[in-house]
Amino acid sequence: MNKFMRTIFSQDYFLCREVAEELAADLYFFFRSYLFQASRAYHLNLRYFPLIPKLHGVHEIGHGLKKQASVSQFCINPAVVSCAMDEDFIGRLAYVSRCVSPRIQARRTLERYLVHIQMVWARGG
Amino acid sequence: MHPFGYMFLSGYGIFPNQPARVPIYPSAFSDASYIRTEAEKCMDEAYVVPQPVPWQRESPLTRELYHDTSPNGKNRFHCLDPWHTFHLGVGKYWVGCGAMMLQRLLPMRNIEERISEIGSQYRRFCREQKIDPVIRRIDIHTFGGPTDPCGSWNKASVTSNWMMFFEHFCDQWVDSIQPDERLQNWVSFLQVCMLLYVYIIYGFSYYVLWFLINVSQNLYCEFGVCVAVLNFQGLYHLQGWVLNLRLWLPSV
Repeated sequence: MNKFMRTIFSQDYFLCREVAEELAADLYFFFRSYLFQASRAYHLNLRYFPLIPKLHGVHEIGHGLKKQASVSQFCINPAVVSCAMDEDFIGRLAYVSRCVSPRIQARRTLERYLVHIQMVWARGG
Repeated sequence: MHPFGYMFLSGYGIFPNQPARVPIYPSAFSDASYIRTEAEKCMDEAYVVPQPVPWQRESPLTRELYHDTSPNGKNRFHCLDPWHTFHLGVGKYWVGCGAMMLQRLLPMRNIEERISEIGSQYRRFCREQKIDPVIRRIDIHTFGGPTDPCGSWNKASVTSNWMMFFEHFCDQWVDSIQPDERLQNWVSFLQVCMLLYVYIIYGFSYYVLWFLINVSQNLYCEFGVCVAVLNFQGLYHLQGWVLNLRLWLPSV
């Protein structure tokens, strides 16, 4: 999974077929490993590795990649629908909005946001 | 509407030939032998067979915007987020259960001390890699306890940090991990460079064994079924079968 995550976040929007097949194989391998661990835990009477619905989500992502790779030379990188960066952006804005007076919250939040933009801009350029 | 829930992309959880609603990933493990085959069948069918829409009132996004017009194209407009699907779902269980399995390798006297040692190693690793550990206090409750392990954090990057840390940890303890089949399987997933070898010898052969056991509801399957499956799966699975028997017989 580490390899999968590193690869999808380091690749471009489109993945070539070979990379997509390799990534799908990694996810399938994870899926089988998880099922193996769940099976062993069940037979050892341990409450480890429960079969939760999100496991199917991982299976869906792997199957989608495999499906695309079987019909096309290029596949869409699953990381393009990842909302980690958007969430981070919202988190930063939420932090700014918590540090202002509640009476003029909207105005101050926008002003502080502009200040932050200016700082990032100056740092980058 | 669907009391047990189902997957909106493929309709998994609603089987076409089954009038009764089947829960997605049933809790009773004896029913789980068809998980992979049924799920893949549903996922393949979802591109050709229209499924019931997973909403009561359609969103303007699929009403107004361009979308895939093939069967279930509207469902596929809503994508899965791979980052959160893994890190705040399966990954928390994977890390929590893995921590409980790996802590036994450390030489300390009790589980609290061993988890505390893992915590200090994790902090050292984060410092070396210049990443934010996010969680400051690491104890047995961080991993949900020894009986029902699950990561107790609610930030996806923590799972990501732990996955990287355990990759590093397993490299250090490779000699102790090798003799343990379960740990080896857990680690082999992290070290995907061993993918082919582990997949053939351990991963899929275990899956075949597990599948057979669940289908027959008995450890000892009929000879004909075993031969048919082994012939089909090839020599590697025969090797895996021998390995499995060696592993399983002491626990029978």
